[in-house]
Amino acid sequence: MATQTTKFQQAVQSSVETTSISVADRAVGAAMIASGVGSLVLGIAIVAAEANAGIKSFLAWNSGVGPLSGKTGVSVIAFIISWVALHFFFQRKAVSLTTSFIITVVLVVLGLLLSYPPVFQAFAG
Amino acid sequence: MNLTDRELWTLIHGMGFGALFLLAFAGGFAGLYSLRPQFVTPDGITERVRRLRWGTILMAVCVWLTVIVGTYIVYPWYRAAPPETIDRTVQSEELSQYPRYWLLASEETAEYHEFGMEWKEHVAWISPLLATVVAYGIFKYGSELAASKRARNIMIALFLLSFAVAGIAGVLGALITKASPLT
Repeated sequence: MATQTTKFQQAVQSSVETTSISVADRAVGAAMIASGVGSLVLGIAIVAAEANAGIKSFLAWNSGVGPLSGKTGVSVIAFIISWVALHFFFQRKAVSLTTSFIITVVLVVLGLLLSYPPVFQAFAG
Repeated sequence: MNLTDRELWTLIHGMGFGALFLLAFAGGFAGLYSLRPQFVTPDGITERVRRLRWGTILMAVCVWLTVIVGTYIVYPWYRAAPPETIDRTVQSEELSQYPRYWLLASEETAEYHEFGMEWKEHVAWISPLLATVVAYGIFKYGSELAASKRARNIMIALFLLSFAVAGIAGVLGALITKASPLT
C-alpha cells in the first residue's frame, strides 16, 4: 500500500512538473511573443504605408527619415506595450515555452514576409 | 587619410556597431551551444552564464545602436532629395551626393534601392527585438539554461534568427554602399 502511494505521489509530481510553467518560462514567453508582435506590426505598417498615402504621410514622424520613422516607431511601441501586457497576463494564465516559441516564429515570419519588397510593393496604391 | 562626417557615421553604423554584433555572434553561439552540464563544470557554468549575460546585453545594445544610427543619422543623407537644378535622370557627379536618386537614375542600379534598400531599411529593425529577447532570456534563466535543453535550444534559435536578419541587412548595406557610397 505504501509503495502504491509513493508511486502515485511520484506520478502526480511528474505530471505537475511536466505541465507546470516556471516563472522564467512565463517571463521569457511574454518577451518572445512581444518580439513577434513588434515584427508583425512593422510588416503591417509597411504594407499600410505602401497602400495608403494618408497613412504614409502620418507615419513620417521625422522629416529627414520620412515614413520609416513611424513604421519602426509603431513597431517598437507595439513591442514594449505587448511585452508589458503579456508579462502581467502570463502571471495569471501562461502558455508553455514551446507554444510561445511557435507563436513567435509565426509572427516573425509574417513580419519578415510583409517587409519583403515584392510582397509589400504589390499593395502599392 | 580624411573622412567626411557622412563617411565617419557610415563607418560607425556598419563597421562599428553592426560588425561588432555580427562578429560577437560566433562567440555567443558557441557559448550557448556548449552550455551543458556534460561539457562544463558547475563553476564553469556560473562563469559562462555571467559572460553570456553581459555579452548578449552588449550585443543587444550594439544592434539597437546600429539601427538607430543607421535610421536617424545615415539614412536621411541617403534619401535626401537633390535640388531641382540637378538632373535626376543622369548619374552625374553632382547626383552622386544623393545616393537614392543616383541609384534610381539608371535601370542597372535601380534595384539596389527598390529591392536592396527597401528591404534593408525595414528588416533590420526586427533584429534588435529578437536580440533583446535573447539577452532577457539568458538574464532570466541564468544557470538553468545548462539543465534545460528546451530553453537553451529556443534561445539559440532566436539568437540565430536575430543574426540572420542582421546578416541580410548587413550584406544589402555593403552592396548598396559599394554601388553608391555616401561621401
